[in-house]
Amino acid sequence: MAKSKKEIISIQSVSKIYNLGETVVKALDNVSLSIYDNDYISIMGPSGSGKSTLMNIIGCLDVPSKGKYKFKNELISEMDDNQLANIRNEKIGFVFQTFNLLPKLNAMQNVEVPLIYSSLGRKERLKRAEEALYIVGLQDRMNHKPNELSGGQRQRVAIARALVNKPSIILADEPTGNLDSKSGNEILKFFSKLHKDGNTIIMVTHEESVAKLSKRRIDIFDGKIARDE
Amino acid sequence: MNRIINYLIDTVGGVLFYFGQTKLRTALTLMGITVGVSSIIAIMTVLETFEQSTDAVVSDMKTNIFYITKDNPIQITFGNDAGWGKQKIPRITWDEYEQLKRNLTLTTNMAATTAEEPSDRTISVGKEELKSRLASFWGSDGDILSVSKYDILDGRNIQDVDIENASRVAIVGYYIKEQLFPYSNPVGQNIEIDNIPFEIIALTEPKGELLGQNMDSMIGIPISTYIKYYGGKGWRGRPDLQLILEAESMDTLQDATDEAIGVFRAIRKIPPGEPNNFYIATNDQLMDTFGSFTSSIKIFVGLVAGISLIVAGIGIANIMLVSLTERIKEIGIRKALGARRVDIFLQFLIEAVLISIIGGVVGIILGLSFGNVVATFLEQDPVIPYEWVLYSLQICASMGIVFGLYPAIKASKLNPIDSMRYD
Repeated sequence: MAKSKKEIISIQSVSKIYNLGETVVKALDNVSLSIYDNDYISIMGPSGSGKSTLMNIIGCLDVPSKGKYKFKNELISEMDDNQLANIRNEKIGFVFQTFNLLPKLNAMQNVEVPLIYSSLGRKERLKRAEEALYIVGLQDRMNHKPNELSGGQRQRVAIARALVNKPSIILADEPTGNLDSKSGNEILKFFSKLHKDGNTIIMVTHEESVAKLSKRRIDIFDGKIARDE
Repeated sequence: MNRIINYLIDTVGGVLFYFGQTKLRTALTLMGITVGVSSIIAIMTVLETFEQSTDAVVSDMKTNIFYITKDNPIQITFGNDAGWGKQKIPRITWDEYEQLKRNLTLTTNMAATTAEEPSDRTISVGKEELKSRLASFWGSDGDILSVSKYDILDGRNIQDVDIENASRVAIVGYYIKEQLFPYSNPVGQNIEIDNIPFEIIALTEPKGELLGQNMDSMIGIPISTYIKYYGGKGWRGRPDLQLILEAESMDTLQDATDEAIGVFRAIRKIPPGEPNNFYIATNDQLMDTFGSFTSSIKIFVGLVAGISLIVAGIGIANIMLVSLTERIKEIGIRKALGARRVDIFLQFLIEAVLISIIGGVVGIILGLSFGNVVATFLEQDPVIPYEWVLYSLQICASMGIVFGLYPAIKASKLNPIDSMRYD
């Protein structure tokens, strides 16, 4: 791996422990991991392995119970809700399996949502949302609601939304899980292109074929990293 | 700041869209507020028109006037505040009036009247008949024109000799001249009241309208004539009199009323310690009573509207909680995309305030329309009670805040991971 690259994410001995009354579940057990600029990583593992927990922690949706998580030298593991929200807003672009678009808003308005929380003015928001939709090739679908778009198009709107704030990493959770293979392949091609353009991509998946496209593969098993290459 | 403007635009659009999606539910929620606010505004509009016209009455009334009457001149009291049964109250008689007249020293003018307002009597000149209903037909004696602020344009006042002889002479208002004597001076001509001929002895100067009543649609005759020809009709036997008394000035008004009470009690031989068996009231007291009447209506309306607004507010809280559970996923997504607690909190709060303000504005429009329709019906000028419009908006906004608070806090505390998975 190209170790000379700039480190973006540094996870040091991170554990996530859930206290479910009698039983204590270690969803993540002493995991350490570094992610570098322009990485294209796939995280694999069976359900219950802890990959979702890792993904939530990387995405700043959750904080670790133990250990340190640094994002571009900012100590995420010590942050409160509002600081986490700001990091998610500015540094992370999410792409979800179920797209998670807001059904009442059209494509343009969906892409605008993160910008609303970045205190951008209306003009600037419209300009950047338009640019992002242009990048994913949906410039002629801006006024369509999610239910007027195909699955592949919806996921492209979601990618545009992830890109619109120029994030440091793109975090994709089973991005092709709800798509037919043709649209799935298109999305994956698009991720490869984004990677080539210099973006850092972290993708959670359970499909070998999808993982093969990435440049680095991390397997999670029982809350531990089983393989990283 | 930019952020807040962003939510406002975002939220207003969102709320309007959401209303469109859930028309019936929203309409029902709004209805509570609308009913509360519109009832406040409607009543306040009507009261305001009344206050406006009573102001006009006040400026037209002499403040140094007081009345002695059998019945409470203020018909708008709650319950019966008299200490004696109604049957026992004696009528005020001509004899009592004459005695009073002889004994009062602080009263400059005094009139006894009996009046029909409005009157259904047929007024005609030859074959010509007055088409509209006569606003007021009264019998009185000489001082009546002075105490009720009528000035004679031409002719003479009712004199003692007219009273003694029960002469068929009449004073007519300017409207009667316009309708029945458009091209001539009515003074000296004849007019028939229920087919009984009268000679017109005076025409009064035009006074215009007051409280929707045409003050010039008026005919007055000597009180003895009234009792002789018309007294039996409508009333059994002789009508009771209303006495109108005028003190020299505002300064002597109190002394004059005290004197009148004393003299009248003496005439009726009421032993000390017994209550008066007549009413005495000054114009000021009449106005005060009206004022306290309107303010008790205001308090009552305020209470009722307050209760209905609290109920409406609970409706808002309920609808916001429903809308919250429907949108848990949306909140999760927004939080994942960078919405802070305060963002979600404000979004919900703004929505609640917006719902209640929309309800309030609809209520204000309805209330103003209804109140002014009533005002027009009562022949009052339309008004807008700006003060109350402003209060209503403030009340609505604070209701939105109070009842939106809990749902907004609840929404803001949702965890993005679990919320996004919620279906």
